[in-house]
Amino acid sequence: MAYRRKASPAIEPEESSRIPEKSVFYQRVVPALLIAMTVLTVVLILFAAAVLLGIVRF
Amino acid sequence: MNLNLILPFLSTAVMLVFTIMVLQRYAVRRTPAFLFWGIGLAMFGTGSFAEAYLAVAWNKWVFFGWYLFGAALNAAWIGHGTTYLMIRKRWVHGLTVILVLGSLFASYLMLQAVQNLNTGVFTVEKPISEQYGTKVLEEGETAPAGALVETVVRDGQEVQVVQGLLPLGTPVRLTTPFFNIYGLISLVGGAIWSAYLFWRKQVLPNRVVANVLIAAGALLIGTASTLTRLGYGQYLYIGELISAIMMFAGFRLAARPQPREEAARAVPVTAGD
Repeated sequence: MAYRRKASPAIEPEESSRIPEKSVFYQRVVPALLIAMTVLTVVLILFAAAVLLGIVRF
Repeated sequence: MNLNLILPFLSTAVMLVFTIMVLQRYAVRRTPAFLFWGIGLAMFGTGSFAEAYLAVAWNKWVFFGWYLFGAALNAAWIGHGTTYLMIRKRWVHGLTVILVLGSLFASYLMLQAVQNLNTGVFTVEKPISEQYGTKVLEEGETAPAGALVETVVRDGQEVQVVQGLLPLGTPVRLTTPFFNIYGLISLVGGAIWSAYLFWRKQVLPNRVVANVLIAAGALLIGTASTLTRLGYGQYLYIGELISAIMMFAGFRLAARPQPREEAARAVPVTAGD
């Protein structure tokens, strides 16, 4: 869920480590999903803030 | 077949397995992130179990657990696990103190709230997500059939409300946006950011998909909870179940062994680490 550098764990390779270059899923679908989820996250945060500010009644 | 019972029960079962696996990792690695994830997931499971219980019978302490752990705290505690991996220790320790104190304060408010519940409105016929809150009826809006409607004074004006278990203006309800905003930013934001970094480097496709699943699962329950607050509680239980499955799948995928070459370059810090 986050990113940092550290030493390699002693695990043998079990699968491809690279994202396939011509994959529609990775080159089109994943970026679109990331953008859509970012937008939805911002919308939900704004909604929660609106509740706090009394704009949305509960 | 009562879906109000079955869906939360299935969510509870998924979260129980998920929680045990995460806490087992904490026992082995002693990474605080796993502890916070484990606690948050246990809270999620508690909320699901409470929903199943409240589909059968009433108990104010089960309702206490449902609202405090299921609605208010769990996202923030799960997200705090991610925060442990993203920012400097000095800052995260400060946030931990704020989270613990905030959770204790919310617990205190919830303890007060359970003394003033409108238990007369409770029915096992409806999911608890559709009857916990008192809702103000806007002009032209009609109350659902069978709902208990009362006229109360709010901000100096008379308004009609559909009575729920928690009376109008119960303070504990004001705490949930704080926890949920923090949970959204840390859990969903952390997963999206991590997926983006792997995607940008074009490495570790399993970690990309794992983080997308975790983010999507958390967003799903966030959206279902928001709809519940808006009065559309019927989507909460199915949303919870799908969310639990997606986050669990993301965790399992992230936990798979990584190829050595790319792991040496950049090791992601996800639930699987």
